[in-house]
Amino acid sequence: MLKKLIKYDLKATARSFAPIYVIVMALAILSAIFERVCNTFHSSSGLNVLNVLSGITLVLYFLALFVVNILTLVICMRFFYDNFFKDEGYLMHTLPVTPAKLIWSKVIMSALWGIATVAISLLSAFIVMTVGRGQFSYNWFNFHFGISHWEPMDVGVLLSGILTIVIGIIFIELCICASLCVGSLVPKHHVAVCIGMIIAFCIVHVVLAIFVVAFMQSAPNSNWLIQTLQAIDSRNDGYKQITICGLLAASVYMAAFSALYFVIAQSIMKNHLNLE
Amino acid sequence: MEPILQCSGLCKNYSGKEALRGLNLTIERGHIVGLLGPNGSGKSTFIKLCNGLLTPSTGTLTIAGMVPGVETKKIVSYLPERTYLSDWMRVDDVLSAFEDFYADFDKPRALDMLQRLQIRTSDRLHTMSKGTREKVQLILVMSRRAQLYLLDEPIGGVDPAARDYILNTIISNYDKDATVILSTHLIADVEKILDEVVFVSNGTIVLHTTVDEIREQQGTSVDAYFREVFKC
Amino acid sequence: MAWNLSSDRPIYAQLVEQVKLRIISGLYPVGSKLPSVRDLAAEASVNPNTMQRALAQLETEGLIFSQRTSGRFVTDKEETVVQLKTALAKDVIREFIFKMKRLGFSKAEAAKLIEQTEFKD
Repeated sequence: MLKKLIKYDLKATARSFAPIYVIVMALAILSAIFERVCNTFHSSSGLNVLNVLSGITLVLYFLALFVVNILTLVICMRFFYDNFFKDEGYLMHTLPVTPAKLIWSKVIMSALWGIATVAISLLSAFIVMTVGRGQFSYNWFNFHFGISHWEPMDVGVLLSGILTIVIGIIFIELCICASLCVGSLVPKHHVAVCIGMIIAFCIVHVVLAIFVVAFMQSAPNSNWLIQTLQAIDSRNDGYKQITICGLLAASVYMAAFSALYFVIAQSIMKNHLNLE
Repeated sequence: MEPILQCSGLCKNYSGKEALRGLNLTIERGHIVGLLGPNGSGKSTFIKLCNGLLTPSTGTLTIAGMVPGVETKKIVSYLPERTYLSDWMRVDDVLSAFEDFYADFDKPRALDMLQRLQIRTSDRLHTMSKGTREKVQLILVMSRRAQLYLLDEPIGGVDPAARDYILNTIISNYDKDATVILSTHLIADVEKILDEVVFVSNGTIVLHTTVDEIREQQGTSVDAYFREVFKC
Repeated sequence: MAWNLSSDRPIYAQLVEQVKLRIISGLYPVGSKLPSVRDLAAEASVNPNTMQRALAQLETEGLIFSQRTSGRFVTDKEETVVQLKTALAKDVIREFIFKMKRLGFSKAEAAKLIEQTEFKD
């Protein structure tokens, strides 16, 4: 059932994403072409039609890139709200699936579009940088990322980084989902209430973060946690291990709160649905 | 077999309003039941409670002996007052969605009905008139071989010819073991196809009887009797 | 022949009458197979349960019979139909005589008037 829901959701949102992806790629390609042409004719100085066009398309491309990334979140969350709390909700909530599956479907769909947007962003940037400016080579890549001399610990950092980012995306989505659900309880002011909830959740996280930092600052050196961290830090590539620990701790924190947001969203949908 | 629907002491309050007050009702399988009452009497609320869109404030409600949930949604086919199909979809998309989500969806039957209305499966919903879209929705709902059909105001706001089509679709797709509950305030049109009627007013049931009984005992149509009962 | 159903009498009783008319008029010939309950109900725009009830009554009156696998048939006994036709005709005649009496005509005078009245088909 979940797969079918995801398929349905992807189909519905693809119509919004296709045009903006096309625009970004088109601008990237256009910008790269102009850049190439400019370089070929060595007309890099002075005001010149090609120069101006090249500059404009580059600016437009960056603008489009920025907008696409923001729109990804907006489209997904808008779809979440419209699909559950507007007329389409009459279909969604009478399907023989649990509210939990409905929410998961939207979360996974948003994550997939998030990955797609990142991929398109990287691909278009790649095109602009390499085709346009001819900057690609193994050496350039190596210089920037030093792949050839990576150790297992570096891989560990990379993997925990990716894990944290993925959980982070889910965390943010579920936070917004839960806020939208709370907003739906007050249909007349749902936008205001939703934003209010998001702010409230942010405040909670900031307060908790302050507590953690305060704890770290004021805890005596004999505390077992401080001692363990210091022990790790003093080792050879300790800073990488600390980074991994930090990332994993952040992941656990966000996962826990994601679960909380999920429970909030699901219980509102199950027991306090009000479609009118 | 247990009755398809049973509720006892069913109450629902929302938005500070008492929509249903202590409803007691049992509906046996195999009938076409009319839920009749003025606007705001609680008909829509009751139907939404039956298909799980709302949860009772107090009291109990069971569909085929089960509390409304995933299992009841498999056997209940619901037609809401408004269109719940997204405009961007094509008829094809909707058919495959229903096929995916409902095991009891009879696609050949739906295709046959659509073809008789000369609706092509490649048509997009937003190119259709409101009336046609509503018919598509009705066809989808009636093409499921459900045990209970809940139709909320299926003929309100529709021209008389379309009303006939809708009522005919209901009776020709109706399985004798299935139950249809349809709510309406246009009684004269639907009387002929109803077995039982339930009069609802201000969140309570005023009367639950058969059409024949009203006609035999009162000597009037249900429509005329309704006007008498609900005289302002 | 259209199904004429008025709204103040039980539907099944009216359906019984209407089916009888169709049998007499030959629309459903003697011994022929009747359409299914579902089709009849759709034609008359009524609840299939109600049509079922009407057909059940006609069965007890002996005007139709059902064969389990093949469906329902009009009786193959010619006399039954003739009897029905005669009975219904007599009802019409009785009502006619009653109305004529109210107008002041005797039975004999009414019969004579019938002879004289032109009737365009």
